[in-house]
Amino acid sequence: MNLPRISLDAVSLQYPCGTRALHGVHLQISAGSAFGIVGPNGAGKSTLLNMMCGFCQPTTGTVHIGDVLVERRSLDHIRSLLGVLFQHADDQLFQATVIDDIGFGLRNRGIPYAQAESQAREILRRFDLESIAQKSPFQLSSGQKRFAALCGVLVMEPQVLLLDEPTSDLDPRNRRRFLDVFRKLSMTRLVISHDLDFVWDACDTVAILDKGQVVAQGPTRELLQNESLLLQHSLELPLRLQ
Amino acid sequence: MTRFVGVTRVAGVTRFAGMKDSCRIINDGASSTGPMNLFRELDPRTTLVVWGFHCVLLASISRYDVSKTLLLGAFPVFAFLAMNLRIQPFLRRLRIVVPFILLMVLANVWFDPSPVALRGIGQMPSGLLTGVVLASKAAVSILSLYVLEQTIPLDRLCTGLRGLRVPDALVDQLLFLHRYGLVVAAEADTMRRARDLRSIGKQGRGLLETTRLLGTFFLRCHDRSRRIHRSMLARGFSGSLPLPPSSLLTVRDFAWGGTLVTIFLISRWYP
Repeated sequence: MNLPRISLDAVSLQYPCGTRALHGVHLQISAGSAFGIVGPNGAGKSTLLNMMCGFCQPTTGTVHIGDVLVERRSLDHIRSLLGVLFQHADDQLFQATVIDDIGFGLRNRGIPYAQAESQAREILRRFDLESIAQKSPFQLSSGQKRFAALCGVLVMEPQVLLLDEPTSDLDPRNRRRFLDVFRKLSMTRLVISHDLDFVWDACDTVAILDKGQVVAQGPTRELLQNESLLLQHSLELPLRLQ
Repeated sequence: MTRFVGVTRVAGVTRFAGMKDSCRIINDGASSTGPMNLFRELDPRTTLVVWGFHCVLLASISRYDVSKTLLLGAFPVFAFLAMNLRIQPFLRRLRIVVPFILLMVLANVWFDPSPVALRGIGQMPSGLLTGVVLASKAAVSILSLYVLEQTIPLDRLCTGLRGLRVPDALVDQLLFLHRYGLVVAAEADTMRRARDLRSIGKQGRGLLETTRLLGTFFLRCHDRSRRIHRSMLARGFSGSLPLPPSSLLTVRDFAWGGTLVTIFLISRWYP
């Protein structure tokens, strides 16, 4: 299967109030790679992710997922390729039970109810989460919510996985398990995170975004060791290097 | 095709976030794992038609007719007892509407003091009689709704509504109301806690602060709903929530539905 690459070409976004969220962003994320985007608060990281999903359109420039241009007409196709894990798992889990929520995307694809449920059960079994299948998402711990949300995304077998702050609500053990899962995935992956240690472990390439611009891009181990560069953009060395 | 293997066990302590009454009421709804009984086994369309019939007949009773109100009220009481439901959730719902019912009863008594003769009781104010009928109808309606809610989970109820050709827009509204109800209750609870933790005595709990809090609450709800909507879009949502397909009606559905409707009709028009 040909996994798609992601290309952003001179992407800018200006809000109606005049604020520039992104300015001339160029990014090439190769197929099947794990790419990290790091940057201080308000750098435009989540905006970039929203743009890739087609939730907002660039003022100038283009975003391509594979050969498909992200625009209004192609949104259905784009969203069938993408799996998005949002920053707050609570926003992703809204059905009455976990099993219903995991099957939600499959049912939207027209997969019969019973089959969607069996696929949802199967993925919960793989994650050893069968015990929460009939629970309300409101009854789960943060770690369980995060993994349930991930199940809801992975069950749709996306070709591109976008993760926004995936480890923000995980304890160290769950964080390690999340990393194990992440490493075993083979689709094109984009991680937006403040957790530089996670990015260090998970991503091959990283870009630093600051004030809406890509200020550096390169191999993770090289870039995240550059203390002066990180400090210049309100970041710090990963904890393991301190 | 699956591109992940050997996922290890995920640890996590199950807990239930402490939420206020609003959230508990939503959570009291029927669950698919509850005890089985006749009403739960019927097709949701049959249940809805029976309940709809019951509501219409209850509303059609004259405002002076206590006996027929009580007679029709026997059905939800019977269902309540047969299903061995808990009384507290019903009382919680009743508590919400009691002030409105009392207000209406008092208004009836106030505006309609003319005497009316009752067999075996003597004379009483006409307003009091209509007030009693009104209160009885309200109590029976709430009990009836509570029993319905406990009889079928919302998803099945909505499947039934779709099966009865209720427009998708209305069914989706109902499903969203249920889903977002929990979200909104959790959001309100978080804000209330944040305010309480920084309030000393009555400081910070005045009208002005509460009004501001409400404004912020609406903005937060809007923002939250936008995020949820985005996550739905990302998973292929296209405007209509998928529900399990309707099954074919069986002889049992017709038999029970017909029997119950006949009993209601007799109760309503029996002299």
